[in-house]
Amino acid sequence: MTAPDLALSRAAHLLEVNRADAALEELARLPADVAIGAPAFRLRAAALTDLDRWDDVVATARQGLAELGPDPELLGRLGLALRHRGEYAPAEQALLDGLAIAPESPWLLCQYADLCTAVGQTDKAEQLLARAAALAPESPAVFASRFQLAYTRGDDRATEQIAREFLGVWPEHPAALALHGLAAAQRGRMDAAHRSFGQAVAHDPADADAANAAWEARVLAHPLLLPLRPLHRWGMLRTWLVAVTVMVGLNLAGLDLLAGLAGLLWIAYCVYSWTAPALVRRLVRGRWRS
Amino acid sequence: MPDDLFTPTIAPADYQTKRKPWRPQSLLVPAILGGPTAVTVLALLNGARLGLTRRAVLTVLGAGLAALIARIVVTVTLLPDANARPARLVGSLAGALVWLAVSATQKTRFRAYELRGGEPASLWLPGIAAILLLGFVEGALVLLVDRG
Repeated sequence: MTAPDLALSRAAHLLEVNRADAALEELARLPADVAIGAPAFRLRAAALTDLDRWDDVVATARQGLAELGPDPELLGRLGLALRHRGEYAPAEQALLDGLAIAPESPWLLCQYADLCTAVGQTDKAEQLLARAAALAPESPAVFASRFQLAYTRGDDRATEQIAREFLGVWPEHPAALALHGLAAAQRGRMDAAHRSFGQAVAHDPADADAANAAWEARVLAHPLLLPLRPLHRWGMLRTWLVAVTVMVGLNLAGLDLLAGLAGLLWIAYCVYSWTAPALVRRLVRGRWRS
Repeated sequence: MPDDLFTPTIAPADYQTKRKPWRPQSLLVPAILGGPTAVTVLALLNGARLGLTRRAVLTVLGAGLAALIARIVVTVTLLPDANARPARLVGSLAGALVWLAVSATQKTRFRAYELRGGEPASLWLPGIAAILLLGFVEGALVLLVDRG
């Protein structure tokens, strides 16, 4: 293996272990003729994607496409970055150009499905994902896109189910752990969310989103917020219905004093649910900083 | 292979939001405290901000009118005094029913908006205004029908 080949495989390995910044440094040291080859452009675009540097991804992908001609992976990166910049119609064009070359690429199908989900075209996203899942049922990209679609549709139960399947197949994948944490938080299981986010951060310390979510879960798992668990698990409507049923029931039973007390408790609970999270957030952050 | 799935379907109008929408889940508070009119008006404004389909808008409008009529009928026929606490509870329940329709029609659209990095608008001032103003108007209407 020649020296540039070694550098390329080192960069690829660094990307695999979630060290995108080190991979970029490795790629920057390549000799000029290798640096404008397809592998170098693909790795550079992938590393910049990991770092969420969307403007640079767009520039790199466009430069690569100008040097190399149409390339499905670079077109996919371009579409992904344009979606993050909010340019949805150009993103669709890039992804369709990629899919015209590689119609059976599960990753490209997932990118297009994510784009459709983001603009609310959930039925089309579902058809695209069905095709991707038939080609690669256990690919992390397929799991992540299915999760996003189910979440957008508002189906929290399916969302949690997909997160559990993802974690079953890839128990140490940072994305699987982060999505599992999100799903658990959505269903009011704050301790599980806290654990999953913590593990996700341990596996991928560079991911700012996972770190933030771990933060928020740490706040919500705080003992002072234990009384708010029913609210998180049942949602506002069901909690309110339970409270009203209790109060009306006590009233009908003739226990007016108890009913009044329940009413006062309910008001106190409402005020607590508005103020306590903000207070705990301050408490946890203060302790973290000192 | 000719493929329907690989034809472009994203037009700029699909994702442009001129004003930030409110979080549909938050509309439950004006629904319970203000009643069907308050939540219906806020939800219709929100539907316009989210760019909902005509069908979704009509669903919310229909649910709002139905809940308002149901509230008046129940209060006038079943309750002895339109001023008493059970009457207010009937108003809250009617509002909550409208909110179910709102949640069902606006949740997906709002979550897609969030997925695009959008932030919800604050409901504090418009919510309180709707509760006080529209809640009062609706209460007055119920009283008028009850006395008349």
